[in-house]
Amino acid sequence: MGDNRLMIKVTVNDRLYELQVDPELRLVDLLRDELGLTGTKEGCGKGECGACTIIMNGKTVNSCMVLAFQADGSEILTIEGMGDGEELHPIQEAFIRQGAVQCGYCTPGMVLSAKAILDKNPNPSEEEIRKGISGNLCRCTGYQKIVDAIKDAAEVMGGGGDER
Amino acid sequence: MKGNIVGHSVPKVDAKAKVTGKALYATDLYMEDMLYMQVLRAPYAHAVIRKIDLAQALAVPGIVRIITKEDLPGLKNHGLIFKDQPALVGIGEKVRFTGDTLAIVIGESNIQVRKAIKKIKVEYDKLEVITDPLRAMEEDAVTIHTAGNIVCTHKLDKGDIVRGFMEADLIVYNEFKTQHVEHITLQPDAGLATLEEDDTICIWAATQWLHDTRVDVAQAMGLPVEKIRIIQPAIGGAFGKREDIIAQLHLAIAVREVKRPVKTIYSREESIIATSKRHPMIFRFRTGVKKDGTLTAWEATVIGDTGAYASSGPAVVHKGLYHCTGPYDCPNVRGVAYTVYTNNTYAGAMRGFGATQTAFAYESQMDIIAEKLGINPIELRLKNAYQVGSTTPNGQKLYASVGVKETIIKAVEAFERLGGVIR
Amino acid sequence: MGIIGFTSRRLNEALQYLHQYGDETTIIAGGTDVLVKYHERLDELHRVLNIWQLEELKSIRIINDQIEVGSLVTHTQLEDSTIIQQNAPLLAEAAGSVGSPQIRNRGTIGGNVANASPAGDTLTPLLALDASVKFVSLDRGEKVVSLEEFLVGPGRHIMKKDELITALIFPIPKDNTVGAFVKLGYRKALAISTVNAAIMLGLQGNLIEDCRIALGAVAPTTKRAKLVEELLQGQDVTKSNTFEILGQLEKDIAPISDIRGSQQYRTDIARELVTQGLQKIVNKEVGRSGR
Ligand SMILES: Cc1cc2nc3c(=O)[nH]c(=O)nc-3n(C[C@H](O)[C@H](O)[C@H](O)COP(=O)(O)OP(=O)(O)OC[C@H]3O[C@@H](n4cnc5c(N)ncnc54)[C@H](O)[C@@H]3O)c2cc1C
Ligand code: FES
Ligand code: FES
Repeated sequence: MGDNRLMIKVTVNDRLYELQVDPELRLVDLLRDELGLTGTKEGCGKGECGACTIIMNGKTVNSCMVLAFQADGSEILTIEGMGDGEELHPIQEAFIRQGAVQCGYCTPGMVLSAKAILDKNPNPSEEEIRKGISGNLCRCTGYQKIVDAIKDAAEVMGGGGDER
Repeated sequence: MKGNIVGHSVPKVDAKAKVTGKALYATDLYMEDMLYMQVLRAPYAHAVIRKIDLAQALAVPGIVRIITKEDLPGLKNHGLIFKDQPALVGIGEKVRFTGDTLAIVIGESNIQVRKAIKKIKVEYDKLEVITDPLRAMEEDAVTIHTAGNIVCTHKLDKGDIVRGFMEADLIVYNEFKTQHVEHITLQPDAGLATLEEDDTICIWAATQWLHDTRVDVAQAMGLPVEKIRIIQPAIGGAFGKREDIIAQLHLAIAVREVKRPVKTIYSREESIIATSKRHPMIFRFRTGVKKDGTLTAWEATVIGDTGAYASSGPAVVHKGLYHCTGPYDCPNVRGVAYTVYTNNTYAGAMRGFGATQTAFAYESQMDIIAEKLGINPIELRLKNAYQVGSTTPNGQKLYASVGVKETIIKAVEAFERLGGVIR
Repeated sequence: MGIIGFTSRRLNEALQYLHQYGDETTIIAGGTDVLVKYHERLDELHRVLNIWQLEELKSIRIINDQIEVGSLVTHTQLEDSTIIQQNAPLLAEAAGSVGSPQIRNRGTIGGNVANASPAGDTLTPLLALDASVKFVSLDRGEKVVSLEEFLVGPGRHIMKKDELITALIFPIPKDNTVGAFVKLGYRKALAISTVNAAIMLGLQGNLIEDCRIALGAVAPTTKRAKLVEELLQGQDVTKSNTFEILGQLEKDIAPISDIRGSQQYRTDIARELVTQGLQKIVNKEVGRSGR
């Protein structure tokens, strides 16, 4: 297999990696199996569940829907890059505070989708929040607490509470 | 004494690990020198296996070992209630649904293992595939297990059903059916096993019943219980599905053969094909009721499709029957429940454990009765709802804490508050 | 052996690659169709040409009286683009209904068109907008073909293996035109259309002067309902006889029965969706296409 490997450069959580990748390797496999970033989960491998969500060049993408070599030159944020060392990101704190974490398997993807929602609009309406997490399945919470957590985070982060 | 737990909202102990992505699920475990395992599933839902040709699969680079039943003649069946499920189906034996396993393939990488699986050739003789439990119950239906297609029968008898129907002004008969439901735990099934120096097999895999899984794995393999250790990593959802043995037994078999750590991750499709479901059930209800809405008799037949293996089926279907009148008091009840084998994916526990299916049936029945009597459906429910002193169909007297009426009233209030209109 | 991957950074490089290896190459843009199709069997791909980095195909431009959408424009870009929102809001709406935010951030219009699914959500608005596909090869240069001619069957189009779509082009709709997109799926998100419909009406007051109706998932390709289009011409949109006319839709379509719906259901839904689309236009629940 080794003969067809491609050289790529990717920045993951502010760290630059220069790597040889197999062309059939998916980005989710690169992150998990090769970089050991297992916070990114795989729930379906087909773009349906959002457990593998990462932020790539500022946009959420399903890392199971990207070949690793296609990520060449990109900047990636995974759950491990949220927060600041030991300090949790306000979104992560809000998820804990609001009880938005049950089994937790959807959580990394949800947190990143939440970040994308708040990056786009620091003061999102409930509808925007629901649309923003519509690519992330959660089988445990029923979503309400996740929506509450994102509203809570918006408030804490200075977006101001919006009761729309 | 004042504490800070009861009455307070307490963050989950592992919430921080989960929001940071540090929590380790079975999918996230890696070990040095680790091998990957996948299994070959049945080519047909009901068939006798004649030949399993491994030659081409073994030639795939990176394949370390392929295990079939022929390697483990002493392997025993497993199962939560009845030991009716084989971890491996051998030559001359039957596969009973498309999730049955014919071979355990172990190799250096998952890609190689997947390739090898596609190269195994299987010859088999097809049998009638039974997907309808009613067909399974017919005299001339082929038997899926030697003892017959009816796994077990449960009965219920309270009061005097004949008198109950005589007292009725109206008798309503209906049949209701529910379908398979998949739990879709967001974490696909996965596990890792290691062999310790003293030959103890350690298995990390999501499970709801560590102790049961441990005993069942040990008995199937003919090992002392002490030789099996089950370690619970973080679980990405269970909802009843993970009461059953899923990959644990295959992992144990594999690690014992190859003596290197073995990991497996199911694809979502494989999880759906091979693991338990909520039972589809058929309910036949004949209900007697007076003009004023008082229930007088309730006769129920419940048929639960437990698929190829019993799993928790006998208990689940039985619960379906015992809850046949729901939270409504009926003095005269008679019923029978059949747990039936088919060639569908096996069904087991799932949130509600049989009571969920029944709720659909008895609430529909109550609505139909209300409509026929021209009574408000909420009044009909309040009139018959359990209260302190009521007796359930299986004879349990409710002596305290019966909140059905309050619940109905509060639910109606909430419904109306949100703009709902009750006709 | 394994598969061979190549990333092209310039269009010419991509065309050269296709010229040489087209027959054994799978083009990958956002990958949201390719990676589903080859799920767990990526090793069966032979060569993969990654075009995601072709920056030159990522813009939406107005050129004279036409709008040109680069083939690598994502659904998110379409949804957010002011040019599209102002001139073809039905296309923005359709793009916004694709999959999920994550899918829209990767899925491209070129991929949607090349994939040629009868349920593809941008295809119906593109047909209603009278769009053409611009594709190019090293040998035969650039071709512009109407989308209607481009699509020939489920997953099938007229392009050769050495060709690459560079853009979708459509005329800027006239000031008196209004469009609407309506989709029925099983869920609000992540739902492939059971049926979808796009409508462009040229109105003179309430009178339909000009009309294009495209339907998805009711025939081997997304297609125009030409019979009904003709019957609607000269009619008053606000009058109830339009619903009767829409009864003729079944002559324009040939739905199949599958997991998303039976033939009859799809026929009924097609009529219902077009009715809803006209209603949206009458009730002005859509932005005007003309600026
Ligand atoms: C979870 C999920 C949900 C989805 N929901 C929807 C939906 O609601 N509606 C909908 O319409 N689609 C949906 N899709 C399908 C898909 O996202 C779209 O069709 C998307 O537009 C494809 O674009 P892509 O760039 O990802 O295509 P790719 O997968 O990269 O390519 C698709 C096909 O087009 C070819 N191709 C790509 N670009 C070019 C080009 N420039 N020239 C020539 N050939 C090319 C490829 O070779 C391949 O055959 C969904 C997909 C997933 C996984
Ligand atoms: S694993 Fe990528 S979307 Fe489900
Ligand atoms: S918390 Fe379990 S899937 Fe969301």
